[in-house]
Amino acid sequence: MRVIEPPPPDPRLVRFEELFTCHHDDVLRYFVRRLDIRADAADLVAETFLVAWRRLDDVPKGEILPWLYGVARRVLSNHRRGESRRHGLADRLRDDLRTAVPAPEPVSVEAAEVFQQLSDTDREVLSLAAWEGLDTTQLAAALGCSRNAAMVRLHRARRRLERLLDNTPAGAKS
Amino acid sequence: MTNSLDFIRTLDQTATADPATQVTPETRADLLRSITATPMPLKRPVRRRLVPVLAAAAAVAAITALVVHVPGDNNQPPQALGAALSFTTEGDVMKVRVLDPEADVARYNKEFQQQGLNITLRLQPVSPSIVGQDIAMSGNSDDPEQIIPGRYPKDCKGTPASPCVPEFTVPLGFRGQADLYVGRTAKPGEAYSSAGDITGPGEALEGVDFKGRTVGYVLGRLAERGFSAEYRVGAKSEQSASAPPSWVVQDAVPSSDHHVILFVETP
Repeated sequence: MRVIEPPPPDPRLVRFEELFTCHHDDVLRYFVRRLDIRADAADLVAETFLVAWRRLDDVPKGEILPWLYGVARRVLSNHRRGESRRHGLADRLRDDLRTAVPAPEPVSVEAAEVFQQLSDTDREVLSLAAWEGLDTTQLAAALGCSRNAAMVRLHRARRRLERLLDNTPAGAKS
Repeated sequence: MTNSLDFIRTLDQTATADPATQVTPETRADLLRSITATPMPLKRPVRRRLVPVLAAAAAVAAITALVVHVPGDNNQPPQALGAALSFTTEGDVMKVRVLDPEADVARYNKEFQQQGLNITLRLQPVSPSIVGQDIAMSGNSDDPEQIIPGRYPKDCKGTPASPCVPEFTVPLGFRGQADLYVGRTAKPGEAYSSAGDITGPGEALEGVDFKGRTVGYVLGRLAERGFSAEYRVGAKSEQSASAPPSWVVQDAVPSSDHHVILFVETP
């Protein structure tokens, strides 16, 4: 009696697969940019997509990536508070991230120091704009605030950074 | 003046050493597979109805005269506990029925083991209308023949007069590993991992036509039944602890035995 048809593909599975495939690398870069040790990104990538999988109904229909960055931001802050979990399912990714890569171009120590003088919230809004390339609408989605508030936060953060740069010896800016 | 965003871009350590190039396609596929293998709340079609667990178990116990082998615990008289599962061979598949969804999980897994199957049954807290139903499945198998979840008897309606029990169709000689998830009654206040239609039998808004009604109206109906609510607002489903009473409820999901999530929009 072999009449059993395989069930049709679950539309949630299809949706998640697309989301994962399109955005895995961006989420990975998000964490690598903000961590000292690359391999630490593995658990955080896994955690972010686990949240997306469990909350698939909450994932917006339109722009998904800013929403994912919003999740990633919370995952990262949990990690910084020492509350992240180690995932067995991230083992392979962790191993991959330990493989040798061409060493990143060294960044100017002075420039990094200037950036570190900013508050966490300033750094995050500037990073999302510069590294992830978010516009103000996307920033609002990632930061969980209104577009107006995101615009103001970005503007103020830029002003504070520019003031720091103006007070820094020219070498730091190159 | 220095462009501050250009300045920050120089600090991007992925610009010259992209971590994405370190990750193999197999690793991506492996992570995707592992994540989707974890249980998630499944929305169920409205036809899923109340399964009174004890009535269902009793009905099936009467029907399982076909049972080829009902394993019991050898150290105890089988009558004392009864089987948690029934295994029936039909052609080249085995039908596994969950006779007692409230039984101790260790008993299921012992019975699977006795059948030589690497299958684990896991009970998840669910909302009343899907107690005793299969809610998810995960596992690893290179076997093209997969386990298929279903309900038994085939024509059951999930009403007290026509109860259903979860039934999994397992290919004979299944060598893979699988986790089967079945809904159990949640403890007071325990968060559901899966929920049925909120207007279904025993649910927070049983029989209430709430879609398109105001938050005020829906909250009133919920309060009569002892439920509180939180909100997801607008297209982005942003979390909120409160919402104006004039806003419109688009959808609702049970969250625990006294709490629901309302999806709302501005009128």
